[in-house]
Parts: sequence; C-alpha cells; structure tokens
Amino acid sequence: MSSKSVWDKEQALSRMRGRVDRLMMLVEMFPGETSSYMTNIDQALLDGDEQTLRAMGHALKGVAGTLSAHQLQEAAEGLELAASTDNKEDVAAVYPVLKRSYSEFTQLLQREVDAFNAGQPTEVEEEVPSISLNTFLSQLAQRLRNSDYVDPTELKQLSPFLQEPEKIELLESLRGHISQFDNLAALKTLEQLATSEGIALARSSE
Amino acid sequence: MIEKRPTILIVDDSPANIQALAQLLAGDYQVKVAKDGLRCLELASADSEIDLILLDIEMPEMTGYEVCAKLKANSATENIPVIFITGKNAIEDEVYGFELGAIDYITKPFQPIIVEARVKTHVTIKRQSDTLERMALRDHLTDLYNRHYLMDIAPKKIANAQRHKNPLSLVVLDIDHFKNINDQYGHDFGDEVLIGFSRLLEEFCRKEDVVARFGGEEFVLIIDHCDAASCVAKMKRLCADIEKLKPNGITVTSSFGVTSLQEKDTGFDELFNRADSAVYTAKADGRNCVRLQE
Repeated sequence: MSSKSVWDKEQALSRMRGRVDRLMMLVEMFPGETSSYMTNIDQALLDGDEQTLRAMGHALKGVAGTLSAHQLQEAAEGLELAASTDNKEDVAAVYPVLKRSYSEFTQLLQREVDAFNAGQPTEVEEEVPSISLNTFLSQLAQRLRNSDYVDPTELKQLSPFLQEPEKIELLESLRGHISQFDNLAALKTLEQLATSEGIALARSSE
Repeated sequence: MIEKRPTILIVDDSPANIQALAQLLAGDYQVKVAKDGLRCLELASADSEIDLILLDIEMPEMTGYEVCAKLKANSATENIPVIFITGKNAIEDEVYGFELGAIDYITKPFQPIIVEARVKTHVTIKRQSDTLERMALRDHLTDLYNRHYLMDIAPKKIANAQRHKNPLSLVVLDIDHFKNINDQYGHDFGDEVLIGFSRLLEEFCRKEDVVARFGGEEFVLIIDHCDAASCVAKMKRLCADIEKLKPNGITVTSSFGVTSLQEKDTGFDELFNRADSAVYTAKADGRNCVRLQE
C-alpha cells in the first residue's frame, strides 16, 4: 500500500491552499472528532444497528475525504454502502479494513504532529496585542453569540495576557471549544477567563 | 462607503469539514457557522444579511434536505440561495436537492477552486437580485417603500386583518408647506428634509409596519394590530417628534389623516380616501395636527 493511499498530504495541503498551519489544525482535530465515530461503529456492530453504521461510515468518509486519507475514505464508504443495503457479510468484511486504515492514518498523523511540533521554535515570539484584553474578550463573546466564525489561531493574541498555569489551561480549553464550534461551552469558558481577570463581559446586543 | 462583505452560513455537523470550508472562505466573506439544522434555521430567520448557505445533507436530528425545505417554505428565508455540499454523490441525491430548491450541489471532498467559483457566482447573482428588488420596491431618494410596493402589499395586509379580525389602521401624512421649503432653500435642501423626515418615520414605526413614500411630500403608513384610538395617540406622539426633529435646522410640521379598517371596507382605496380626507381636515384645522375619519 503506497503511503499516498494512506494519506495524500500534497492533495490535502492543496485543499488548504498550501497553508501548512491550516492543514495542521485539521490534522490535530482529526482524532478528537473521529474517535467517537469509531466507538459508535464498534457499538453499532454489537447491536446490529445498521442505521448508525451507515451514518458513522458516511461521517468518517467526509472527514477522511477532506484530509485526503484515500484508503480510510474508501473503507468508510464501503461501510456506508454495506450498511445501507443491510449487507452483514460486506459489513463484516469491510470492518477490519476500516479499523486498520484508521489506525494507520492516525499513527501517520501523530508522527506528522510530532515532527511539526519538533520543527517549531521553542521560544515562540509573542505577538504584541493590538487591543486591550477587555475589548478582545468582549468582542470574542459577541462573535460567538452571533455564531460568527472564529479562527482558533486568533487566540494567540491572548497568550501574552495569560501566563499562570490555570489561565493557560482555560485558554487551551477555550481553543478546543472554538475549534469544535461548541459556542455554548466556549462562552462559559470565556466567562471564567474574564472573571479570573476581573473583567465583566459586555452583554449581548444582538 | 465601504461595501459590507457578503455573509456565508456554513452548516455541517463535522468540525473538521467546517474548518476546511471556513478557512477557505473567511478571507473574502463574513462566515457564520451552524452545527445543526435548527441553528441554521434560527440564524437564517434572524439575520437578513445572509447571502448564501452552504448546507451539508447528512446531519443528526434534521437532514440538510429538511432544512432546505423549511428555508424555502418560509417567506423570510426563501430567497437565500442554498448550495448543498455533501458526501452524497448519487445522481438521485443531487436531483432531489435541486427539486427542494437548492441552487447548486457540490460533492465532498471538495475542490477549493470549485467551491470558490460557485460561491462567488451565486453571491454575485444574489446581490444583483437584491439590488434590482430594492430598486423596484424602494423609493430612490428616501429608501422607504415606494408606491408600487404599497399598492402590492396593502390589499394583502387588509385581507389578512379582515380574515383574522385584527384591527388595522392607515395613516396619510403630508409635510406642511413643503413647497415653501423647496422655493426658499432649493430642491437639494428639500431632499435632505425628506430624507431626515423619512428616517424619523422608520425609526418611530415598528419593523412590521409599512412605511411608504406615496409621492412628493406625502407618506402612507399601514399599522397592523392597531385600532383607531391607539393609532391617533401614536400619531400625536409622532407629530410632536416631527416638530422637534428640525431637519437641516428648520422646523418642519406635518398633517395626519388616520382611519381604521371597517367590516364594510372592500379594499385599499376606501381606507386611503378616508385617511386622505382626514388630512384635508387637518390642513383646514391649521396643520401640524392629527385628524381621524372613521
């Protein structure tokens, strides 16, 4: 099996318009998003739940396709098709292929993340914030309430303000919620962060 | 004036897919995100600025097909173009998407150049169509609804009020001595007065009221769920606000004719004629006042 069939990084990068940072964001998101799909597939197999198998196969196919993980995409599509026709033999045949493809791809991604992080400068030069913490947090809260897209990399601007371990932890948690588009959880974390800095966030003007 | 960037709403249950699309489009568009169909419907109904929806099909709770059908069944959202972006690549899925009213169909994994080109095309068409609609329905100077729109919407409002037995009032108002303003200060000045006057009418009225420029310095308001007495009280407040407005530094007043829908009324003309006649009474009574004709 060629490494390109496991992961066509070049194609995935071209989908991100050549932006390595954007590709790495998706790479880092992949296990978090898809591990639940795999758990659901295992459970659905035990339960004989063809509908969940089909839905999870479809969802996995989509994410794998976005990242150009061709082998995994193909196996996920195979599961989707087999489950949609209630073909238990095909489901049983495609399942181990899917598991193996998933495992190979996630291992490859982990190596990619490790290499990427190793290549990053250890002393990251902090960006000079252009606006006050109060303004930044209030505007961010408003954007989340409005369901506006927030690029998680924008949160780098908060780093110079938040140096204590518990605040760094909150910031990481906020980044996670924003990446997952869980705006309710993000707003809750943002409130905690603001409170820890003695800031009262402006209420919605929506 | 800097033109606002078009707004795209991305609807997908997969965060990775949303990120990939949002990163692609965020440089040129204002991007909003919904992770499920219900939130998509909420945002589309609440935000009249959405220019295009990129909609996934396979989502838990409500499929993209259901979301599209609901969008197209709602007059507030029916004109927002929908592009399905989906892993469902069977021809019958695509056909069904178009049957539901989608304007385009893109299969995943998407090619960036295809998404960019199709989004740009449909956003351009949507914006041109909005401009044409605006030109057809709005008064060029004041941006209030024009007479054409009024004549179209008035019979529907009246029929709806009669059917549900809801009160409805119609107001005709006329700026007092407007000809003198034009003669004394010139037409450009008069136009600025009309614009300032129109802004006040819009701010004073509710979003659901119809505020139209009927012609020259004459305006018509259709106010739903409002009986004659409430309408007269409301117009007295508006009359006082107009006197305080002082557009371009001069005092402007207005005469109001109010009427309300009666069971015997058969259409707009009867209501308009009564309100117009009430304006004449207001003028005869010294102007800057509100008169009712039942």
